[in-house]
Amino acid sequence: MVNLGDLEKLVLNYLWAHGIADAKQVHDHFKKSRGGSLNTIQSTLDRLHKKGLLAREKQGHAYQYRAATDKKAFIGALIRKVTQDFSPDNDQLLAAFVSMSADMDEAHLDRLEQLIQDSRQRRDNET
Amino acid sequence: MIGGWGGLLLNLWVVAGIATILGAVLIALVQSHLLVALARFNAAAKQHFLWAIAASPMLIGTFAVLLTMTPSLSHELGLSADHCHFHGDGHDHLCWNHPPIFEWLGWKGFCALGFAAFIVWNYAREIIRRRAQQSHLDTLLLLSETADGNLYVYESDQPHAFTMGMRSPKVLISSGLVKALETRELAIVCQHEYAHRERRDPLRLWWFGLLLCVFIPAARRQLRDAMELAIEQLADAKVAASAHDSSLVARTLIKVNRLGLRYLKQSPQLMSCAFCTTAIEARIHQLLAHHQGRQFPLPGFIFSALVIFAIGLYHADLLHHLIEDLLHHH
Repeated sequence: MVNLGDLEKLVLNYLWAHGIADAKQVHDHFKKSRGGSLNTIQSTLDRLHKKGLLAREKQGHAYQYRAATDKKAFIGALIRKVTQDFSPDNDQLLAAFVSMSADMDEAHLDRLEQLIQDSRQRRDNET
Repeated sequence: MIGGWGGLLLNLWVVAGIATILGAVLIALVQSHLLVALARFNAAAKQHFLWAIAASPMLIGTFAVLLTMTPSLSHELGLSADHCHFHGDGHDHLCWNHPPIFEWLGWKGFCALGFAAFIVWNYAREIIRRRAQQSHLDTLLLLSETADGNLYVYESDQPHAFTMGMRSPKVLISSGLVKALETRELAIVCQHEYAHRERRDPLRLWWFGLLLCVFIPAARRQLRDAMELAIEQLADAKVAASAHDSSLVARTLIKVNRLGLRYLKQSPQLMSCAFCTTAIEARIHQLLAHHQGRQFPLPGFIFSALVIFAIGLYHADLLHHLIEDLLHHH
């Protein structure tokens, strides 16, 4: 998982949303919200291309850029990074609702569901 | 060689390090029994006990230093005679009136440097880790949609929800999970994560991990699992109390697990990705139980700590001589 700067993240997100764009189109989009020069955008696009996150094709004098990776795949890799691959002893710094364990299977979940139903029935009978 | 206060402090540093390691080994030997005994308590009480267990080795190290210095302290306060007069002339001292010499070349120098390197390595690693995770969180937040800044929905078919971040924790949920859940179920998942956010559980886990760094890996994993379970159980209990229906919370828990399991089966390349190995069975049993377990026995806990402290003080001279012998005759 490559580390991205703030502008790189924004540009990547823009290209995921808009598909294909050249440096001028990207600059036009960001100049009101962030400012910055066309050169900054061009070098950001170039860096993202070198990191393998953008593909480009020359059309006329300008490159047309598009995201080289699927957004879902990128996010999936990011999630895996923060949830599992982060440290050698697998320590986590997050609190997750999902509690998958290695020995979990459908039959185990069925048994637990039955337990919930039985408990509910017992409570209904008591009241 | 270092004399004066430097020599005294380095000797005490070695004492603290050895006592901390011995404390960690001792606790690792009995922690399985301790964790079984914790099952009788509610989730909040379990958390208190786990903090006490995790902090014990370092407290034992600090306590050993305090007891080592007790004879000097009591003399300074006018409570006892000068302890050093009881020594023969050929006996080395370990007190601030007669600061000992610290020799770098030898086992004490090796221990002092080893303990310092261990602490610096672990703390530096945790800080780097924390920064890296913050960077990943920033990326995730940027790629997520949020309506009110409370809940961030990121694009992924993988059913997942979690709270992340130290200073300002954020709640993230995948679009796959949002689509798969009914409104009430989604509300339960969100409330569970909001409970984590309010309690700053990611920060708690980080501090807890720092305390555990002196334990052997197997003991560390066991204690960490127990803390993760207690944290999840507390969040479950809070949601169950506000939803007035603990069985609905339990069913939602099962449903989210089932969705996760099915997703992993469809994506075998992700089979190694076990998000959180918190025991679901224990969480379900807690949600269905009539009684949530015993409260934390604060008076008993304080009384026990005071008794241990008093016994330590009573035997301070013995410990002081033992440590003097260990440091100066080996």
